[in-house]
Amino acid sequence: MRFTILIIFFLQLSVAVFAQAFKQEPAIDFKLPTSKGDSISLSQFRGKVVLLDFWASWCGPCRIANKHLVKIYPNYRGKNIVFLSVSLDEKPSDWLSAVKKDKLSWLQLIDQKAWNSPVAAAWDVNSIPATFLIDQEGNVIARNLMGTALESGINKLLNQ
Amino acid sequence: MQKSYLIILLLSLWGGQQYSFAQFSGGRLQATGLTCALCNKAIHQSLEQLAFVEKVEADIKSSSFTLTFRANGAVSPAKLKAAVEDAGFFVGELQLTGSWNQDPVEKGIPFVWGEQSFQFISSKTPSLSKAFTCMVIGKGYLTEKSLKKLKTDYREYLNLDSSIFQLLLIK
Repeated sequence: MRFTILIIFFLQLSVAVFAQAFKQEPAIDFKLPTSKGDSISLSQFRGKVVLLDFWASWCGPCRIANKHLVKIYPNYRGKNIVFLSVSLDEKPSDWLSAVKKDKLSWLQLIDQKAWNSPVAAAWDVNSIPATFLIDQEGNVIARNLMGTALESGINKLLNQ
Repeated sequence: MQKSYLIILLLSLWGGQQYSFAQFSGGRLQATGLTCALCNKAIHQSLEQLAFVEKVEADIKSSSFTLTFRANGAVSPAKLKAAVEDAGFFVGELQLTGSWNQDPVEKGIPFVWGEQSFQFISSKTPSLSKAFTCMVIGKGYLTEKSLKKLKTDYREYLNLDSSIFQLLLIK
């Protein structure tokens, strides 16, 4: 009896955790510059799926994750999705050389305040890489999807 | 007469210690843990909040933090270690960069910087007016593996129970 209660308790707990992880929240808007100084805001992509990725040139795991994004990006070119990378580099030169080296051909933004970035704080980014999937209505659907889970997440949103 | 000699001797010793000091301008800190320490906000902020730390920069090449200390800041390896551990990581290696304002000290003779005492364990000691880099040797300041090796290599000099920070000159 006791055991059954314990199992039920853990089941409920796992359901609660699961629900929290997939709770939809409206994406918090921000405005950040490109390398040319143009100001880009997240909200201007309303109506499109957005893959938002926080990274930095000095972050090893981010550079590895970049390889995967580079690999899948051609599959989504011309579709209703925007890849948007936000770098937490302090020096634009470090950022730009990493963008060039990793061959990142989608939209690149920078917040030179790095870890003091109010954007990263608003998005609760405490470690990088941090990836978010935002739907056409501007809701955050998932966080930190990796590998094939990321692709299936994107595909699901695009086919809705 | 003997008494005055003793006073002069004591004064000169005291004076000698006063003049022998180094200034640590910066360092390099490698942190270890389950996840990428460089990619973690907590460790970065924890280090940045130390009073003697002016700047913290992540360096992917050495996968370590480059630290810039404030001029005349009381540099404390213990506080650096605590900051790293508070963020949930461990110190894998801690290097300090400094220079001598006056005569450098010999091996084994402690010198004071800030609130802390330090001593060099190797026979090599830094030369005057040259910048030097040294490694802090002690439990929690190195990986267990490196500490074990250094314990063997510098058995006769190393005193890990001492409250004086043991330094190994690198360059």
